[in-house]
Amino acid sequence: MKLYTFTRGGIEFADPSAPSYNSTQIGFLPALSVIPLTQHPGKEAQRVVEEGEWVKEGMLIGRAQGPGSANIHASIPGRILKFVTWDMHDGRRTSAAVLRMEGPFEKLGKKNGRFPWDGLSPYDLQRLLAEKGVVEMEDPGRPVAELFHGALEQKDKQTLVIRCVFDDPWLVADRVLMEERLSEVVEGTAIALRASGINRVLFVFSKGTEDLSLRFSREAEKFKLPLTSVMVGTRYPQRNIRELEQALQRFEKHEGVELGGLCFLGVATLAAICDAVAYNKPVMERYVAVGGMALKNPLVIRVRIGTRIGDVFEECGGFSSEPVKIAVGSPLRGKRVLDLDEPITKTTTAIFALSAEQIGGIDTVDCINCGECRAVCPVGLDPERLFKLALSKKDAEASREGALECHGCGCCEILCPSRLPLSSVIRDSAIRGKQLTLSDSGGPL
Amino acid sequence: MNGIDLSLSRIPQIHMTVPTATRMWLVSLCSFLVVLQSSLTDSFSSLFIALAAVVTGVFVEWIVGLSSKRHTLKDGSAVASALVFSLMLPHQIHPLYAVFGTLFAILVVKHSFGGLGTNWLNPAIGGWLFIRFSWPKVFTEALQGSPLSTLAVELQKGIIDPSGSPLGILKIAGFKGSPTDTVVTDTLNSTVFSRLGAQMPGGYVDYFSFSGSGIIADRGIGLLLLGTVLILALAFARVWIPALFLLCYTTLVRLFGALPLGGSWGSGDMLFGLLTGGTLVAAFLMALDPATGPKSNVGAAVIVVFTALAAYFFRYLGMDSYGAFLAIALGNVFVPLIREWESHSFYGRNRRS
Repeated sequence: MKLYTFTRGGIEFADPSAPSYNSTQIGFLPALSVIPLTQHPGKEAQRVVEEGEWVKEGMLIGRAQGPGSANIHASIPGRILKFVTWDMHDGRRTSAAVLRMEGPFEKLGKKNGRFPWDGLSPYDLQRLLAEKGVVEMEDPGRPVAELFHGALEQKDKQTLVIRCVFDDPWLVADRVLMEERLSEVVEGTAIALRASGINRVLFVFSKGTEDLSLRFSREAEKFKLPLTSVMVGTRYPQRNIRELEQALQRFEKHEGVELGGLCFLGVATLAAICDAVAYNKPVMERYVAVGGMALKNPLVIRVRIGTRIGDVFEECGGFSSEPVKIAVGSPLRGKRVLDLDEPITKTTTAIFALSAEQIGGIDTVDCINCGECRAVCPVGLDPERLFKLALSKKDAEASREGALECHGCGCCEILCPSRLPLSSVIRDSAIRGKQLTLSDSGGPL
Repeated sequence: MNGIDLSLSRIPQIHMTVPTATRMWLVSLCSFLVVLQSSLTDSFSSLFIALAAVVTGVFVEWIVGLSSKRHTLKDGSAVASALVFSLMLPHQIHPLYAVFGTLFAILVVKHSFGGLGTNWLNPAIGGWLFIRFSWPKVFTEALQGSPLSTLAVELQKGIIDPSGSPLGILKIAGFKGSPTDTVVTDTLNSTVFSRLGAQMPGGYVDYFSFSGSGIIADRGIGLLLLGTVLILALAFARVWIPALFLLCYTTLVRLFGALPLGGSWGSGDMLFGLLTGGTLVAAFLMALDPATGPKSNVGAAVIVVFTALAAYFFRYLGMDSYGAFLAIALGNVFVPLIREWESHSFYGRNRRS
């Protein structure tokens, strides 16, 4: 099978402190959960329950408010102790329900009754997905009903792209999900096709996971999915939309097919779609990779949304050494958290505790023009120059030289021997540059 | 950048490369090994020169740090520059000149342009040019009796060798190989070269542990090679840069190197060209310096080929024994132009689209 990949830059990233896809377990049910009402890019969901109220497992506790917002459900049954104001790791402030587990589970351990969705229209499916609070199960967590609505309104040809790409070992939770819930992922794909009106699926997988592709294809036959598989490279950031589009453009050219517009979905999202539509379950749990050198026993755990990360670390045997950094996401693109009470949300793919050795030093020194950043930039930018322009507040010039094209993969920053915050500073400069451009053209700020 | 806490806002949580400071300390270690080898056969005079350079470098860096409130001593660049500079000095020169040269290198060449990474000229080269052309007599006297000075004197006298061998001319001038050289050369000839149908002339082995007059770099070739292996093995340097430099340079020496010495086309002595005149220091410690190098691989290749050409011209046609250092300095001059060209050609908007 031909391998497609992006044209330049990128890095090969291996991390022995990430859990293996063989080390999985189902997480314990948390005695106390913190369920944020913002787990999506839009407005905070409006609370529909009050402090002291009893809630059932899967009951709505926050209702979506406008575009980009999604419904929030109780992941465990119990009593709402209080609502707190919570600063998330991404800097946003949100209300969060503190829930103490009490009472019986209505879905956990019960036989899943399968709901026949074949007769539902795309709009019915979208309504169902919105009702169950299904969002992309990774950042930024856009509601899938909105994605499908947009796709359905499009008149041009479109293709649903399933991103089963592992360019980062911290995406292992997706791999485990593929191993354990393949049939749900395939059914989720069938539902997604129906809900979006798209009639072509590309299953994009990484080199080395050909077995997953074969099993997916076999399973897809049950639903007669219009499926094509595409193998891509494992170099980071292959999973990124821009780099994936580049690889798929090459595929289009080589195969002589026209893909049209692309709608990207991850496998965790597809499983959540299946749960919502076929099993009438809102998003209440997800697979999370837990690791880092400071952790005793790295694992992939299936945990309830709202479980505090401190509890999850404890379930992995606690810390083997004092962690220097705790973050969510991946070491390559993750965001640091300062509180072990930070909850697992719908978009949390991994959490990790890094040791000092793993960080590789934090002392910054002046740039020595080694050129490592230029060599790995997948966009073909000159991060060193953009960084220096940004530090001198020459944001308009930086924008002209390509700062706006930076998609923040962080390759430059990861490899910088002077430990300069290249990617972070360039993206800040790009935001300022964009505002300058808008203000110059009289547009909205 | 020092002292700014960006740990919260940064996105990548890890770094995967050898830090700048470690690189600098490795360059320092490599240079120190050369100084050590040289000082074992000159009653530690090389060590005193290096010590004078390092103490001055550290002091100047500290003073500059105090005035600018940016303490950069920990990055190791001052020590590395001072040590590399000391390698370029004759081992018999007074340590005071090492002090002057380092002062110029760190204060003027490095810091007047903004410090580490912003200097257009390699500080060590800057210091060396300053000493060499400010006190040419001192420099020349300190090198009296060295193979390269002797070779230049003999050539001026009109003494040449029909085979174009510098060792042949030096033999006429009275340079004799050591007993060790004879034993090692004989052993290599009988065990390795005889099987290849070749024979190595005597005299080269001495240059790996040279104890005569010369610059410190030429007196520590054995440990210099060990140090470069360390630097390259830790994979933070682009190995192809010194390799390309040495390939171009030795090819030119092989093709045309014998002509000025009375030999014929294609019989130049490559080994002598490599082991003397600071060629290896220029290739491994200076051509590799990223701060004074181009942005892209193409730009680096252009500069490296140009530098190798210039090194050959300066040394074999200009008859300057340390042509490799002059070539690096000349290459540094053109780097800003190359960078400008690279910015438009490789990182401009048109290229990306």
